[in-house]
Amino acid sequence: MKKSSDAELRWVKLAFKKYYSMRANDIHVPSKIENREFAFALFGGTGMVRHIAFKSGEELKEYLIFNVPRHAFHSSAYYSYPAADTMEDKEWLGADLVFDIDVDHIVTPCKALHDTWLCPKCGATGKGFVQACPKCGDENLKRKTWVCETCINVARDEVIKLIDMLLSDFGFSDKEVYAVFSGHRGFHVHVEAESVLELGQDARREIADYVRGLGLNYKAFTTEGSRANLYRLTAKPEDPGWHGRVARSVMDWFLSLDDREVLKVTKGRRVSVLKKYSAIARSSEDADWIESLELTRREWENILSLIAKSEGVEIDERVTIDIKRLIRLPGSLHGKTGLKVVKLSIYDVENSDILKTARVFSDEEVRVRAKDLPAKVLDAEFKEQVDGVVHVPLYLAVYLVANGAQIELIDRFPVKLARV
Amino acid sequence: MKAYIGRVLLSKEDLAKYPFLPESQKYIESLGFTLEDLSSQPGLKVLERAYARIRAAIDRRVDRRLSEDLDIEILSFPTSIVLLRVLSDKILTRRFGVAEGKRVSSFLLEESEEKLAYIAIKGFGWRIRVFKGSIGSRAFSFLIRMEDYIPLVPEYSGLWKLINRPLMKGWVPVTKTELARLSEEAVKKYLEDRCSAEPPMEVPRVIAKIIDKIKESWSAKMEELGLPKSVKVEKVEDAYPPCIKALLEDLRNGKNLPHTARFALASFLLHIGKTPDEVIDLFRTVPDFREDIARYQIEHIAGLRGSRVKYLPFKCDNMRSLGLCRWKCRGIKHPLQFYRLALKRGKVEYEEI
Repeated sequence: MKKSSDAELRWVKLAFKKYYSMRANDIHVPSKIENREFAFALFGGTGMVRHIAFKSGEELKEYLIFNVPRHAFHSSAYYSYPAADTMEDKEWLGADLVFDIDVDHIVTPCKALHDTWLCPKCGATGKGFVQACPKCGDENLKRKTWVCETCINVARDEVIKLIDMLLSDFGFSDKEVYAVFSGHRGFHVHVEAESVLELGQDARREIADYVRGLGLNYKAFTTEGSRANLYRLTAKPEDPGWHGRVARSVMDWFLSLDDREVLKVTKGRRVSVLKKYSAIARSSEDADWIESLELTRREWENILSLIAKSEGVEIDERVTIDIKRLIRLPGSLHGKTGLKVVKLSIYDVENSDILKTARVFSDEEVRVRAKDLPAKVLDAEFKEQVDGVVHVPLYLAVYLVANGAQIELIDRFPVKLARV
Repeated sequence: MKAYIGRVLLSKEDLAKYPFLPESQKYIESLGFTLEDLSSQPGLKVLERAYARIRAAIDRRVDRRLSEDLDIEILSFPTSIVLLRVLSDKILTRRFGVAEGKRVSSFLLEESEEKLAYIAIKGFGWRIRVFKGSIGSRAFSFLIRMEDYIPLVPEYSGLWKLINRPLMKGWVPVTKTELARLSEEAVKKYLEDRCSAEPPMEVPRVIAKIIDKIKESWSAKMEELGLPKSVKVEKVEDAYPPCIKALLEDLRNGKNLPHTARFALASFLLHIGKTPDEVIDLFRTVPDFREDIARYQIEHIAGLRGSRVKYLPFKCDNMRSLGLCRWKCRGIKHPLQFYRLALKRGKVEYEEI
């Protein structure tokens, strides 16, 4: 059996058409729409249709209903002439601050269950995530990736960390910040605020570094201690920004000392000293003991890099730095999953069942003939190697076809939308 | 002291020290001075003073002098800008910005905190609050909005780096010295913007004469600054920054470099004068070498194809982001800057991070 055929894809396009015709009101019309560039990838087409502009949300919706794109994007930037062909003629006016959190870049336990790779060079294949082919070292791997509930939850934790930073450190209001489920394996977080509009690439990189925990310097958090090359922590748990984050993390670190990490931090030299501090931490009733904590420069640097890893947010910094990025249109469908790109308020991120909200097609069962299905995908699990006829909910059938699984539809009746 | 900065009364001397303030601009307008006035006294004195200011910049001096007649001092500032517009030399303009920025910050450091804040707010449109407090290892005097702070920090590392500041709801704590330093950068930027505007269509003869004088001393200086005849480093390759050396070594060891690394290396080598053929030869060792593709891409980077733009190598920040740099080179922001400095001085200090 080959990959999903053209007939299957046409069925997906019909499904998308139904969604856009019936649920056009689910489309989130971006603010200042007349200054944004739009871009679409169409079914059957290659590449993107770019430099499209709309005067109103109505115009945008008409376009979607009429053209039924497979993917829909809008610019994070604002332009005087968004439909102009070249960047120069568009006249850049400013851009929202955007963050991209994608499980592609994060280690998750579920990838071994649903991701596969193939090395076109030597023919090796495998499951899970590898940076390069373990056999020949080539980095240009063909990957097949799927999304499941675990992926979403891992990404969601990062989003929550990020939103906390944006609100408490950067002082953005809950009206200026929102998250978007990408419809695939991640989230985007948008900041629409006057103060970020005109920031250049260097300034955005600095914000990206802040969020990632990059560049922590021990001098900012410590002062000279009682002996040469010993430094005392001066940051306090209640301090703003990374000062508080560092102080709280240092305390936690000593409270639950991990032998392996201690070895790494001290390079095996002062293990007993650190253990002594840990004992003091555990027997103390308050945080005052921390003022007596003195470590070497190397030790501080090592602890800070551990803290950066655990407290920093895993974003794809290229998206944040790019001031002309195209980003998925909330309310549109993701062409690889058939899931809705969902706009979420900062409160929705924690409290909603994201995959359920993103599902727009019904869960009535359809029969498909399938081969090599991923073991875990969306909320479904295929325990045994599937090879033959399976019953799957309709929304999953759309996903399997759209993402190029080896399936053939047996029931090809008109698609129904999920009830709202 | 109040958290918000009130009005501060400025003397005429202040207007001379801080000629970018709206108050100073207003005063200059009220004098009704025109380009034609430069041809006779007291205009000639103004012109002379403007020349002296630019001359100081050429010599990298900070000229803290204030003319006895403060009107002359004040008017010499816009006059210098006109001269630089006519000259339209980016390097000289930047040098002037540096010198004037340092002059301003040296004056600012002598001011009270309230006055310093007032001048920064009025002069640069920043939002600043007074804040007395110690956080972490440092005592601060002001809070400045992060969108004003980030674009002007002298470097994106060490204590200037945003992550090492106790960021409070978008406000960045800074010391008095740091606020003066940020002002220095703001003056630099102010002057770069002002000096890049169109020059007047016609200038009086006296100006043309001064321009020639400036050109003369500037080109003498340029020659002095130019690359030395004898290269002290043993081989030219010794002057390459560590990131480029590492890429070159990887390449020679037949390692498969990612696309970004190839671009960084090729654009660097093309910029220091290697020919496309020489660069192509280097890449012959890569496992997936194909001459036609390599030639196309390298000629593209060299600006011989496509958009006809010669691509600059990535700057250090970008090299770091791309994972191609794990060094800290003293005072270096761009690999090409390392190379030039290394050729000039014989070495540049750097350490592995």
